[in-house]
Amino acid sequence: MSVSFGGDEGGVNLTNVVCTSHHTADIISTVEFNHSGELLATGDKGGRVVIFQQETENKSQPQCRSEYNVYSTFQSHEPEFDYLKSLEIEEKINKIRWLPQKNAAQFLLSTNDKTIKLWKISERDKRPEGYNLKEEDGRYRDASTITTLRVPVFRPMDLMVEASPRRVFANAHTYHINSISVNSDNETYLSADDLRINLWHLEITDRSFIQLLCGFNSASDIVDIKPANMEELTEVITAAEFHPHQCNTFVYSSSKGTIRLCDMRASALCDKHSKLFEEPEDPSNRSFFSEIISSISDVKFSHNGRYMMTRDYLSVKIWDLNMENRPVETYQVHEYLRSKLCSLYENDCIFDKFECCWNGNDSVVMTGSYNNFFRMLDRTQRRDVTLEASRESCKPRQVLKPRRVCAGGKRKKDEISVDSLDFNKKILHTAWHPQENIIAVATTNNLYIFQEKVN
Amino acid sequence: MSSSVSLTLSAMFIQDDKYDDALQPAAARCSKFRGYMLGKGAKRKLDEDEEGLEGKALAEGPGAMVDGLSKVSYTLQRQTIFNMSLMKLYNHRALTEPSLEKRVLINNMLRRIQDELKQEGNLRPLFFPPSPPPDDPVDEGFREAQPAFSVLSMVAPPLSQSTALSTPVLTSPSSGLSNPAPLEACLTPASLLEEDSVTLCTSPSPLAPPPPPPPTLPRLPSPVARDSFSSALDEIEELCPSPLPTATSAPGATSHSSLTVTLQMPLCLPSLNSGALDSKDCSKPCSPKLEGLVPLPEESSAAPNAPETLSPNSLDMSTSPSASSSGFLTDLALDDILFADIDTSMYDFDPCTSSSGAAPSKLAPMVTADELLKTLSPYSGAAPAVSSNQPFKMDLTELDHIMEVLVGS
Repeated sequence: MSVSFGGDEGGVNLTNVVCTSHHTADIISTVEFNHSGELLATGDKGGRVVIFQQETENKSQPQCRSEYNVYSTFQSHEPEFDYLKSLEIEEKINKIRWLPQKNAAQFLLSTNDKTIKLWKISERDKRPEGYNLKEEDGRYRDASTITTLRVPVFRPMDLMVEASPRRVFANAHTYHINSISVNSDNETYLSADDLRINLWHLEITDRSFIQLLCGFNSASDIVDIKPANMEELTEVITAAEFHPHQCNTFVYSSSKGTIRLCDMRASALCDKHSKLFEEPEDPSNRSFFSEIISSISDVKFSHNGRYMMTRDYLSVKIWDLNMENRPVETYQVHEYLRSKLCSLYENDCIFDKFECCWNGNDSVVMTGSYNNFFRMLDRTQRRDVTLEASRESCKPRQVLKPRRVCAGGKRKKDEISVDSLDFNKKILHTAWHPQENIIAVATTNNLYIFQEKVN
Repeated sequence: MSSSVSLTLSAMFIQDDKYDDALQPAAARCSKFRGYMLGKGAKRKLDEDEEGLEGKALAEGPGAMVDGLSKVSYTLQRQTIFNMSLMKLYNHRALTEPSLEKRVLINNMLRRIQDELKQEGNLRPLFFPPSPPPDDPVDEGFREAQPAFSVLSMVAPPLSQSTALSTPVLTSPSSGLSNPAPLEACLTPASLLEEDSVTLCTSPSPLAPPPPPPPTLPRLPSPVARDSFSSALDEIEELCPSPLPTATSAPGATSHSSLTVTLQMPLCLPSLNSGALDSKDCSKPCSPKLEGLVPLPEESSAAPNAPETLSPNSLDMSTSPSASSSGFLTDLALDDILFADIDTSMYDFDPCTSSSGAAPSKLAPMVTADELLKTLSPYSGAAPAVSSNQPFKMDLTELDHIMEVLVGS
């Protein structure tokens, strides 16, 4: 599966793009497909989780048009108040991660800044009828009136989807949780905040399994919550992920543009990394903002486990896990912003955390940008395209038109100048179906689901 | 004397006027331009400079020796970023804890700029062209700024020397206030005035010759001026209750008492000093600008991580490099007062009489007296707003005293 490239201008020619969009009450803060792609979960700023389910017109035909409709909605987190610091703890869902399905029910982990919860989502479409001692409405029957016995049977009912919290993992993070990642052993998962990474067992909630002392502080005591010398803090953890196949390996990225790969077999205290991935700075691009734009906002392993992708403010980098000194591929997402960094620093946009994702066969990567633009970068064909998620692009039979940004000089027709970009409309969260050519793109309040239909 | 103090101050404010456009309160500018690059087509003057600046800066590299014009643009941009960073750190009014990553990145930015300034301060004589007469007030303002920069923001390699110089002042906190020696040392050294015929506001008051600069650096403007200033701050610091940093469980919930105290002194500066300033045109722009409160960290968690281990003595810049971050904040305090162009039109500075809980909505970058009190109280572990008036009043009395010394009345 790949995005077809072609056309006169070398742009993308997505024919018959099927788009469904859902307006949400609150700002979407995370988007994640489950392992089969049948379910799509979104978390929002109000602590709610909304799950969409794929419904195909004709299940026998694999490439048929499919829609994602609301499957379940529940309140995952509530706002809390930290009395010690006199500060609110936001209920905003930072991340959702699905567990692989083991039985009829689905499980997902959702987290806000401080607390992680394991939710079970189960369907009920049958209910028992025909009790001997109870009426249908639940009232007890008088035993003396019973003359015959019958066996209760299950009868179909309207589908009901229930979400129930099964575990709450709390009070383990002093700082804000930025990542969770389920291990390939399906028994453990990690959670990362600015300074620490915790390893949890899914069954045990009262303490984290191992507190992996990763990070950039000098504290030697694993129990110590606060780093020894905060004054010297110059680097924080920004993202972390388990390797998709090796259950002992995980990576974490930093605000200085480094990625550390750790092997838990080497040491329980993973303060000594196995590998350090860092690209030397390009001196010709050095500016006041070099450090800030090098901060990695997202790190994702490829599905095959041989590569990892990092997103910093202006670019996407693909790293071979066997080569630490530089990425194997670098893609510019919106290089035209490099000359605007001072203004972006002023309005805080330079701190926006963009995510990135791989397609199912690791041939295309996708990430978001401003003005509701998102970028698809084809690694095999070395082509890229900028698309826009907007109402216009969601019209029926509408082919997604490639967009171009004019960095300077004379603006051509259909190009947008950098100064006209709307920096309030940012696409931070995108997700790609693990098997099909379906993508989910979250603008501020809308979720767009695009499907490339191959006739 | 007082005129010399105003000399130094006024030098900075001339520079400040030049930056009026650029240095409007970042909050106001941010809201205006939030979401849009240049306000939908209305180009700001500075923005063009910024683009040019970035281009130039990129071409030359931040630390390279550049010709005069690029250097000016570079310094201008650096100053803008510096101010922006300060505003970001100290203006945070969120109900939730601000992002640690963001704070760390901004803090790193400030440190880098400060390190650059320090280096430039040491190398300044090599860079500066031999003083042509000022062509227009703008140029004058800018050149004047340079020595002011170096005077204020110097962390000398000659640490030992400056330590030695400032020690006598430090050792007698109570009596030192009446010591006239630090007064003269506050003055812009004559050597500085002589080498640049750009006379800083042209006050010809006779100045005591500074102590000989340390042999390691050529024609280094006396670090004594800086140290005596900081030593005055130290005295204030000692007068105010400045509890030791306590270990708390939160990264930002730290004691930044020293920072608060540092900033208190300048707060009182205008009200007590405005009459004393006799440097002509400078007095008007001086006092209103100084009246603006330096933004204080309102919530404990908004403070950067750097000041956590500040202790009273570490305010002195001449202490070890490991305390450079704390010394850095002293610089911050001074630079912030002197360079920030804060809109004070709505603010009537009178900490003793400002109504408690005065809504700061119009004074977005400002901190009311109440917030000062609030920031003071957590350090002593007392509940907020309990018996916090007294330390504040005590500060004012002592600050009065110090101001007299500085003004030389």
